[in-house]
Amino acid sequence: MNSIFLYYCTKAGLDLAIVNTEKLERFASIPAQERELAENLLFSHPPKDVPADHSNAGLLRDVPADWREQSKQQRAAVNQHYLAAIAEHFRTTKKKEKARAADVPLDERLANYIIEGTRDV
Amino acid sequence: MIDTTDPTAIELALTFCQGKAILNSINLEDGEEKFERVVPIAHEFGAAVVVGCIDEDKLQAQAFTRERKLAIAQRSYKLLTEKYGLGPEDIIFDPLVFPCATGDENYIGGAVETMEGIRLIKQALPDVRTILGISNVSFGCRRGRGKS
Repeated sequence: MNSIFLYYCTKAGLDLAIVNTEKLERFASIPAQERELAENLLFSHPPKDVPADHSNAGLLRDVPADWREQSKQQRAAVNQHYLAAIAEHFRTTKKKEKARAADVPLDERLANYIIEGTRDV
Repeated sequence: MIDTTDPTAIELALTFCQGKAILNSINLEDGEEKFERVVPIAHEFGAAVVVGCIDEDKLQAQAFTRERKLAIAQRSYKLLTEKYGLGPEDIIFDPLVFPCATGDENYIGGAVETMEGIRLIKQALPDVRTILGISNVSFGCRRGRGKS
């Protein structure tokens, strides 16, 4: 979420940012699905493909794209919808297993060291 | 970056700083008082100043909407450049970041307002810089993978 927010702030003209660089995921290495989850929440995008039996289906349909034009109830419903989607995603997605360095071919290993950085000596 | 608004501490710190220093931070929450105490010292030492988009508003001192972020930045800019003689390049505006994952309805839309606030400030005052404390946006998220 921080990476994606930073990305759009930079595009809007942000010059400086205080971040934890060690923990900050690079924008380009975030899977498209996770990026969309965060973007939906940050921008309060109109939800797509809301099931008819969704408990808040009425509020989640025909939502204006600009959050300022959404009603108070719509805003809250949209926010809750995406918070739940994010929680669900991270509950059901297993942590990525990092391949052990020794199992990766040398040229790939070197590329990883350059892109990811390394503490191995 | 010198993280205090105590004038004595700032002055002492600046005498030990090599190169460009940044003072963190001033705002108009108590009117011009902080400006008066801090800016002349910054000016004397050539330091830059972080200015938060906050004013005396009783209900919501911290600017939430893009319009208020811009209005406070413009008011601060006018004071700093005209009254205190600070160069625009020594002004760093903090348009503020609000948490968007806490479920607090008052903060919905905050991320968009911050982005658009940056855009408006940079359009109106192209010579200043902007800064944000990014992680506030995800405040309240469980710590874990993908959330940093």
